[in-house]
Amino acid sequence: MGDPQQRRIEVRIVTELARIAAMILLALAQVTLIPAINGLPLPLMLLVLVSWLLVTIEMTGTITQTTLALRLAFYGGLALDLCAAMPMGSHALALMLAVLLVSLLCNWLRGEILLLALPALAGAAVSYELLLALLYHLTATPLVWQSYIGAVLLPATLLALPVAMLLYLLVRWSYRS
Amino acid sequence: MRDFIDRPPRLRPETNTAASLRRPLLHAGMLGGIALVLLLADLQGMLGSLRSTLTYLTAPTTARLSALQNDLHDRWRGVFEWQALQAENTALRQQISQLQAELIAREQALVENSQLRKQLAIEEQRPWHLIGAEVTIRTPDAARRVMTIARGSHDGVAPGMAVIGQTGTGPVALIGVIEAVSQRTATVLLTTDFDSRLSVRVVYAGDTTLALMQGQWQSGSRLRLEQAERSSLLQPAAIVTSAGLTGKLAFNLPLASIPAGVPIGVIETAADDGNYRFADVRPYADPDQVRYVWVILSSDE
Repeated sequence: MGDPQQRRIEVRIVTELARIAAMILLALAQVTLIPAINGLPLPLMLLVLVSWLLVTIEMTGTITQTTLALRLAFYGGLALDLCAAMPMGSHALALMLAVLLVSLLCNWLRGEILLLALPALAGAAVSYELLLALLYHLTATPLVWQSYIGAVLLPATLLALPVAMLLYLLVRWSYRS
Repeated sequence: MRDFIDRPPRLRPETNTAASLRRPLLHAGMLGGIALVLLLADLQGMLGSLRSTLTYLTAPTTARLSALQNDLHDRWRGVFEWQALQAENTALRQQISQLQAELIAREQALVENSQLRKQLAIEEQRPWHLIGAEVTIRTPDAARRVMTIARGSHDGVAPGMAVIGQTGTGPVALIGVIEAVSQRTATVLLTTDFDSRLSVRVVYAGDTTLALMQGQWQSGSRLRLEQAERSSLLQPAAIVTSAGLTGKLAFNLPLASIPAGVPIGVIETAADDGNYRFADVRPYADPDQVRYVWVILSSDE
């Protein structure tokens, strides 16, 4: 029958590998299947992770799933870095920052998650895009921030928000049902 | 009411905030540190080979997914961007129309080139000055055998000029005579028309004779020779050409423009009717088949 503790370790390893595979698939979907609207790509990985985190916080009433969300953000970020022409770790950092911010926000405010969802998603999207822009600014070409915020950051956030809310409600509905 | 009693409202459990945050923050710090190390290593170029290997491994999948995305995007556009597609469709139709016009012009140029080459070949073999013309109208009138060509007095075409044509691999041969001209067009009376009468030369076995040729289309045939000076030469396989008598005799008549020696056809059958001998001629060029003709403007002979 085998050692139950060893079995637990094997199950954990398999589960973690499955999560890594899922994040790679999600990253591939983001860089290939999701069309850019007016040149602005939709951050599918970010939206899925944050929506899932918000729903788990609402369901469990705690932020204990944040660690798992951070791991998923790390895997997914590395997968995105591999696909995108960004230095390895940049998307991972940006996603983890967004996940951490959402988690801290929910833990701090402790209100109705449904009401917190919109500002949390907006904050996550802004922090994600800002950190990526900062990394680009530091490692590649210096940005003109004023024009970047007006021409890229705000439109990207505004584009992401309705999709994020839709995704969040979908995940919430599926969890509840 | 029962539901309310059975299912008490779920309350968020009280948790120690500092304790609940410690673990995620530690986790974030650890993973963030790894990510930073990776970032610095990549910026130093230490992960280049790993990155290229992984990119190589994922390339087939990304290519397929991108193709799928393109397909989906096209379908998406088809559903939601119908107005833009309609405009694009209109623009493309116009472009196709323009390209078709260009293609037609090109093909016309090719045809013209071919016809001009033929014309050049004829002019090299014969002392004629030619002008090519498209057959534009074939009169759908059973009474007459005429056609309209796209050349007129503006191009130097005049009544009485010989019109030659070619069908298949046969020789260039007389198919008619200009009957009337306007500035840009001319009417050709075909040799097969009953109204067409020409003096011709018959060449047979090294000998020659003059005869009169008349169109026979209205009477169910094509061309008939009669009134030959030496009727004995009206034999099958004899060659018939134009005689150019009007020109030789310097008559100021329209038919004077037809030079001598223009091939017409070959005698198919010959027969006697008492003292009268006649022959049916098969024209080298079928006037009903030609699409492009040449008008003999003048001859150096």
